Amino acid sequence: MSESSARAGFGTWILLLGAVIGLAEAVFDYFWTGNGIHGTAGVLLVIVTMALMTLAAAALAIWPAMPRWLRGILLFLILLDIVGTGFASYMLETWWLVGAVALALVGWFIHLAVDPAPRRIPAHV
Amino acid sequence: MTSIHTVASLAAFAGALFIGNGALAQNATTAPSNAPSVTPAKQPSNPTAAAAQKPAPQPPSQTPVVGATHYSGWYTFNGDLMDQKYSKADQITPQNVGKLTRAWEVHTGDMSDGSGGKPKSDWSATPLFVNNTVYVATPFYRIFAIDPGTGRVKWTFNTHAVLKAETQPDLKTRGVAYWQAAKPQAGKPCQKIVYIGTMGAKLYAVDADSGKACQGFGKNGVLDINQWNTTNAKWPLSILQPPTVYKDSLFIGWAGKDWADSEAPPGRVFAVNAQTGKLKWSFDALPKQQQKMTGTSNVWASMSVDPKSGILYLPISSPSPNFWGGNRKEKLPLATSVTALDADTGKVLWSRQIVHHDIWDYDTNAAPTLVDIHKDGKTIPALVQTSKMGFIFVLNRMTGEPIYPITETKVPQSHAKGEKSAPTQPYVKTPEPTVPDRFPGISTLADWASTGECSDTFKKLRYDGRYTPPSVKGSLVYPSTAGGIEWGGGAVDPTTGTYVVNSSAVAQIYRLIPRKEYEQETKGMKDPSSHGYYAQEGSPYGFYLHNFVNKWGMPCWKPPYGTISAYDLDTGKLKWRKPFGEVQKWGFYMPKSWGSVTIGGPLITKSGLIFIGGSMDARVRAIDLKSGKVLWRSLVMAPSVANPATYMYKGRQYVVFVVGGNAILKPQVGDEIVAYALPKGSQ
Repeated sequence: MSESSARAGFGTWILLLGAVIGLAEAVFDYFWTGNGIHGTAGVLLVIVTMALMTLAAAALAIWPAMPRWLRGILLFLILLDIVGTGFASYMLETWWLVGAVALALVGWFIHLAVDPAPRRIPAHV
Repeated sequence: MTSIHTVASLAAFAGALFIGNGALAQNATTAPSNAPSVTPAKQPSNPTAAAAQKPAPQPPSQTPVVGATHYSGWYTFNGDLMDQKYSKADQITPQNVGKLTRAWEVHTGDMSDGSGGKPKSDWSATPLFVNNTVYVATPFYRIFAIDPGTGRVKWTFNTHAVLKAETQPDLKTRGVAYWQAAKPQAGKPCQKIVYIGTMGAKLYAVDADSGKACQGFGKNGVLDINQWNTTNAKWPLSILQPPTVYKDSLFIGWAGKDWADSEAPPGRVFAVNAQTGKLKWSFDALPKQQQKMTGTSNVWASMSVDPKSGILYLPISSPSPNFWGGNRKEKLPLATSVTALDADTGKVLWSRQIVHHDIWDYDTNAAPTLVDIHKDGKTIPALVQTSKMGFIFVLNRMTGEPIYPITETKVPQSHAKGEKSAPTQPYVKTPEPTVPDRFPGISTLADWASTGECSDTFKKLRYDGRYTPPSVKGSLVYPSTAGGIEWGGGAVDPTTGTYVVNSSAVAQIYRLIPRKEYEQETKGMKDPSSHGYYAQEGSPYGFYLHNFVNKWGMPCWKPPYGTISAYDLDTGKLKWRKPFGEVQKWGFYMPKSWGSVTIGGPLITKSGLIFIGGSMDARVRAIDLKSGKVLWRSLVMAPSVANPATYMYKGRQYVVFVVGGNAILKPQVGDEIVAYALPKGSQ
């Protein structure tokens, strides 16, 4: 028997920060009438994708020792989310949102390159 | 088939569909019930030939000038009488335009998104600056008089017009007109008058200083233009375009209901006394004998005047019905033309037809710009007439003769029952047309996204190049009634002969539907026009019009969809052309290289700047006149589909945009009047 145990790395927190900022920005853009895109389906789509990114990043942060395969899938989906949302933000000409997504991407890379890999340790030592 | 709703929502991409329907529409007038005080103009059987026979037009009669001929400021729909849209103001320059900030803004409250029982609003009013006041008409038919330096509202005037779509589908106005006495008498009212028209054919005269009705005008300050609507009077003669003011006369054209009837009110322009509203003369664009069986060929756009020669220039629209001409095979030489009248008498001096036997709704839709050009060592009094086809006709404004060649070119022929299309049409190669001669081809992206829908549709359509006539199988028309160049027209720097104009490039599908089939296809529809169907009652064909878009609303043709171009009028050469504006769909902005369909024209300042709204992306912009580079842009409440204005006031230059939107571009509406200036102290 063994149990998973680890701490979320720096990259995970950067990723989560980017996602949260992006979500907040997207919600703001949806309701603020002076931006040329408020109330549009495009911003609504970005709210959804940023919310999913936030949930996924939070899962990485809260459950750092999740199974390797699940982490791999999650990281792949987050990357797709980042790329898609980044493109959508660019098309919406919302530069703060592009910045937030870029921050999330930096976090993603740091997580992949620097953060400690989850390890399995004996349950009873 | 693409419904009109799809197209409208798609407006994001091409806008189109309803372009013809809204502002572009044609309209009609009637023979006055009371005989005009001046004999209507004689119709030359061949105006161009007539002009050729007498190269020197009859000089306009000399009548005493009661009103001033022109004023300082931005005093007409097009800035001045010659439609130059040019200002000598030079405080804002290419170097400092990036610092522009909002000096003031006014929200009128007069806007409608179509809910609440009111039609949508469509606001294309040029703000006037004259009499130290900014005057603006709203689509609810109110006048706002505004302090030009602070935006404080001095007064408002409410016509209490019925806010119903009596002719056009939206509530719309293109602004107010202004007149003042040559020597205004202090303390006497209505020495300076502002005019506003309504969709219900009422023209109101209001004291420019107090905002009170001028009781001596018409009946208690209101002139009912509909009193002269006596032939095929199926709808009122909507006064959406402000009158043109010259000396003591108002020249009034009107708008009507599009594509509904074969027999419609025939086009007529009225000249009335600016102070009393009394009819001075009227002008018929259609020969008397044809008026009953056809109609329209009205003037729904602005006009221009050469104050030196006293010549009034009319952009005359197409006859009815718009897409089949079997009821009007006779020559109608003034239809779809630019026509010069003696402003004092209404007599035709010359006319040039720019589309023969129009079956595309290619209305001449903008006032010609008057400017002197320098060619072959000579100074030539010229006229620049834009068109929905993207052709730019440069004529001698005294004779109507072309300065750059116009070639009669063979065009595809119609096979529709009862139709006899014109064998040739006028082509212009110089200046280079704003829209290419050939359809640019199917958009790979749109075709791919729709799994081949675009190319499949294209194969089923008739397309034989420019002037492909409407057909039962469906014809691809490019450019279509949506343009090409719209009613905003162009602007010119008269000191350099640089002419600037924005243009759209819209492909539409025109389909004639035999009457019985039309009845079946539209059965159960409460409002067929909202689905793209137009009855053309009285003709053997109904009509279906829609943008050439795929199931997602993406344009099936290659971009750009909108451009802005600068020409050297002295040589006719294109100086530069750039995609202009951005298409927006679901909030997403498409690549800048696509450009945007535009409505509303530019202005030019002496300092070398172009100011323009017009685009779908709800931005107003300043562009470098030399290079075409966008130097400044600002987000506004909705697309600014009105011509802007600029003026100097107390040492500061202001640029004013009216921001109201137009359903042709996208559903967004606005009620904003916004003035930009350099920050105080930085001028």
